[in-house]
Amino acid sequence: MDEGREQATLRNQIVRLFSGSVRQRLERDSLDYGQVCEIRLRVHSPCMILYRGEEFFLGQGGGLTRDERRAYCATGEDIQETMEHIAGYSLYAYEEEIRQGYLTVQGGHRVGIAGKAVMEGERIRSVKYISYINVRVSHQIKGCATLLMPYVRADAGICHTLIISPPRCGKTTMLRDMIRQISNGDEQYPGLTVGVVDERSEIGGCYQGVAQNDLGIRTDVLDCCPKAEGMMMLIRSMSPVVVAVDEIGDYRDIHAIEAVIHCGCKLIATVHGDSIEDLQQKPLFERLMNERIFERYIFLQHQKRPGEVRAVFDQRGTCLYQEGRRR
Amino acid sequence: MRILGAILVVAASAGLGFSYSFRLGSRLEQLRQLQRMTVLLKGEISYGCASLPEALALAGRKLSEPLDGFLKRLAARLRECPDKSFQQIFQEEALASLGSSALTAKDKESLMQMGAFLGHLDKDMQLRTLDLYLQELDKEIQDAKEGVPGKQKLCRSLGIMGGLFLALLLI
Repeated sequence: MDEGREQATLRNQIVRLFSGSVRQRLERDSLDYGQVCEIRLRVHSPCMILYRGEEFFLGQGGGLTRDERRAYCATGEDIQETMEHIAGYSLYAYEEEIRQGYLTVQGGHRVGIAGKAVMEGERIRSVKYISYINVRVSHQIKGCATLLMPYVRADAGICHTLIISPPRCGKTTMLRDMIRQISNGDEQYPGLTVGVVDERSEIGGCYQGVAQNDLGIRTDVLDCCPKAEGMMMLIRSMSPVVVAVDEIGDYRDIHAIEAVIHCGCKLIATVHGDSIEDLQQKPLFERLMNERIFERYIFLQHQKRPGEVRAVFDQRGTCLYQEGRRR
Repeated sequence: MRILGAILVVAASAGLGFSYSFRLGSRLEQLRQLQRMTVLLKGEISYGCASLPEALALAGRKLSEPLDGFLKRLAARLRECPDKSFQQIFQEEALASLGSSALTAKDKESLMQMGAFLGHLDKDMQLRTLDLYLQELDKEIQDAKEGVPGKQKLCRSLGIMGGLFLALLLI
């Protein structure tokens, strides 16, 4: 798909989610949707757009503005209509996602929601009076992991790798490109079978089971499946060489990771965090780190742009790469 | 000339009777199709937890005219996310696709009412709405099955007899 068509597809995927009045205003400006990170709607508050790393308001007459007084304020109807579009007029089909506070739409874009939680005993049953929506645009940046591939690839194949960063630093985008490059291979390294457990449909952006993002020609995707069960299912059914998962952290994930590693598969995963010390404070990761299960730790940051590689460490804590200088 | 005219009057009147009788038979078939559509939608929603556009498109693939066109067009419009509610889109598409069908005004009204409640609240609500509509359809089909053969016979006979009577009057 050429760049122009990709842009048009991305634009269409994002714009059609919004209510008529927000959509009209968005369409009046020729935004580069590849540079849009977030669009936020809050009832009776200005619509905000995080564009090229800066915060703008959606203007009353369309386009972007920095002047809050000229910003378009979302109404309750805007939020309601937007939710109908996001859920395909079928909120019932997203009960579990709503309980967790987000939905993933076609293209892998994540829509966070907030409102009034409906409780059933100790458990959240649903969210009603949804009044806050945050559309996080998923980006596919081919080649963004090229710098990291020599650290991830070793003589024995792929290293067990953990990508670590705070939110909005490009973990998922980096993981996606890594999957694509491992799966496709190149002149030096043959392609490997990759199994992806995409619990939140963010990696592949699957639509009706088909990945919308390029994950390579040897990749099998298990969409919307809990990571722990999904990893075991993939090993049994698709015999992958590499298993990739996003945002691990649950104790069940950790058991599944141990199972994956003992099966002889290689694992690439991401986790929220900022430093090795940060991870060591989490009891579940402390064990994995002490046992030196992961062979590469990749730290990302967002200073000028998302996806900047801050450092790469090996299992002994030796720094293999640091921003600005190579070892 | 008179005889030719009389034959034409009888043929036209009989044709009218047969056409009405055929329409009554088509209504029964279309009610059965609606029943199949509802069962398919229920299955897609309860088993696959499919969204409405997805469930409608899948059901549309398994049915025949005029419901397949209605469901496919409705699913396509929902995917475009027009600035209208589900109920409005459902009504517009139902009127456009089923306006000239053999379904009666009451049948169409029941379908619209079902459409008004779809998409609202949780999965249980969808299944109950579809169950309720299925019960209504069962009753309509039962009534139609009992009444239709008699009515069809009556329409055909009335068409022929009416034509003969008119021809005699005119001669």
